[in-house]
Amino acid sequence: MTTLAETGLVAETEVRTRLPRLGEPAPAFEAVTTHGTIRLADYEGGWLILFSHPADFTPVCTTEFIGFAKIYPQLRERHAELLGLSIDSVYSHIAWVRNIEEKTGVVIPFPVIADLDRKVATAYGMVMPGESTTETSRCVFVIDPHGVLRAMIYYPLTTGRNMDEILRLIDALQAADTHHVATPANWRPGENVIVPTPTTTEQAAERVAEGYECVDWYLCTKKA
Amino acid sequence: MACVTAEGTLTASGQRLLTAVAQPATAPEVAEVTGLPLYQVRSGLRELTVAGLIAETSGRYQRLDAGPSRGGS
Repeated sequence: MTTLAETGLVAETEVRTRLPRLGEPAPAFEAVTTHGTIRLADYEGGWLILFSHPADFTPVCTTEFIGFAKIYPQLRERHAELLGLSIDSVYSHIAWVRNIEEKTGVVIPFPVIADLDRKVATAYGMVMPGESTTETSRCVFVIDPHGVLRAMIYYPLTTGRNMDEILRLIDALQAADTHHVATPANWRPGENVIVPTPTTTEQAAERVAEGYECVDWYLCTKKA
Repeated sequence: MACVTAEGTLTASGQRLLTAVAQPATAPEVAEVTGLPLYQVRSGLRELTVAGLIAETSGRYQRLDAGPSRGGS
């Protein structure tokens, strides 16, 4: 009996559904959006938060769009842009963002990809067939100024995302890049950051005498 | 950015970009002058280039003299 692996079907499926990986270049795209045709390369030099939502004119997504619009000025202060996506037409997107403004007074200032052919959703692994085969899940991809994928968040259809966490994540990534440090759990700007862990016994012995706040040689913090 | 309509006229943002490249300028320079996000500028300049309204040389964009009808914003 011939197995799926022998026919190559498994490998083909794995390639098609392969999720992007942290630390690798984010998949390039050119897409129709509510602001015209946009390429990933258009964001080079700044941070991009590419996020997907399940569908236009749905309740949780509407609260999220309002939330994203409210943090947009803070993101721009951090040189970060927002780019939404769902498997809807650009006409649906336009009608929805106009409806949000009409009903809530909130202007949606960022573009939204109309990914009807699912090219971007597929490249980024945004469709989770276990949840839905026709909608994208609530994904967030943080792409740095060099086009490298730096963070991913996946939320299910039922659960709206936390905008404070997205801001915190951008702050943490930028602090890590600027100061060559790591950030501890629940870190907020202004709090101590983690000094890179020594990689030799000699460095470990020296570390505790370097003036940092240390629990032990492998967990030392300092002001950013 | 959607700078050119299906009828071939310029949107307000298209006109804004076209004005900004009266003299040769890079995309970051246009972003600084117009206050528009860099991604919008790059997208818009590409669209204006395809429409034959501007030309790009060594990363600098400049308005061409003979362009299609304008206005319609």
